[in-house]
Amino acid sequence: MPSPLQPEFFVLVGIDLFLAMSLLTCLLDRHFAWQLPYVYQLAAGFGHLIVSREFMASFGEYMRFWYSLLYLAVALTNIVALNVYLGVIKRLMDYARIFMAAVTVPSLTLTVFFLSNYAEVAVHPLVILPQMGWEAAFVGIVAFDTLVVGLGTYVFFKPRWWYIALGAGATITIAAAYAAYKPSWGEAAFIASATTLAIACAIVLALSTYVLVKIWIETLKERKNEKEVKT
Amino acid sequence: MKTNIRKILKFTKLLITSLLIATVSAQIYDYMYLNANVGVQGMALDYW
Repeated sequence: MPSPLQPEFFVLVGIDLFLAMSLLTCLLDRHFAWQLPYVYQLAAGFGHLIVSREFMASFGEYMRFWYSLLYLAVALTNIVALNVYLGVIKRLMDYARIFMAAVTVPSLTLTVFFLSNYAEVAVHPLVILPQMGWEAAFVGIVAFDTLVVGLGTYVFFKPRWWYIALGAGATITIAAAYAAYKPSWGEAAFIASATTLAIACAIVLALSTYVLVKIWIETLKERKNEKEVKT
Repeated sequence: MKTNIRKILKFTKLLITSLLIATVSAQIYDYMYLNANVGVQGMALDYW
């Protein structure tokens, strides 16, 4: 079934994003170069040239999808770059937070939504990935979970780094050995290790949330005390 | 609050060009859908 969306839809989204950026940079012209809104208008105009019915005869749907996606990716990169510029270079953290909540995150979310919708019904597969066996998938899941748990433990509890490296290395090695030799206990070990890792992830996430909430409450208390001292 | 006429003019100019570009692009995108009316008609059969 052909996709109900034409690939040029992504160019259209990119054009709208460039135009929105042009207006936003015009409104925030104190913090950006005065030429920037015009550059974004030119970029949107260039995108308009890509949306052409003539290209339908020249290029296949696959090719049209990729150049459309590239254009959209450039627009999104510009949004992220402006966000980083506001936050990191200009040190306007409030502006950067608002920009992230109002522009960056919605744009990225919408793009992911439309891309997933397009990918579901596209004629050609968007990305051709090699078929993964369950062994590779198992090792991949174990490695990812171990990385999350190890990183969370290191950031919040500050143990010696090699304790975590040793634990994580041992876990991944055991998982890889298990996948390579496929012992007779089979599925039971797979389910047990997956459950253990899921529980470990949940514990680390819960502890991290607890530590974050504690830091947040302490910061609020400190601010309140500072205000009281000033008055 | 001081009114910045230059900024208002610049913003209006950009807004108009933005609307123009967005509208024309959307129109071309809409035009890219090929519309055709195809019908099916049964053949006339004569029994004799």
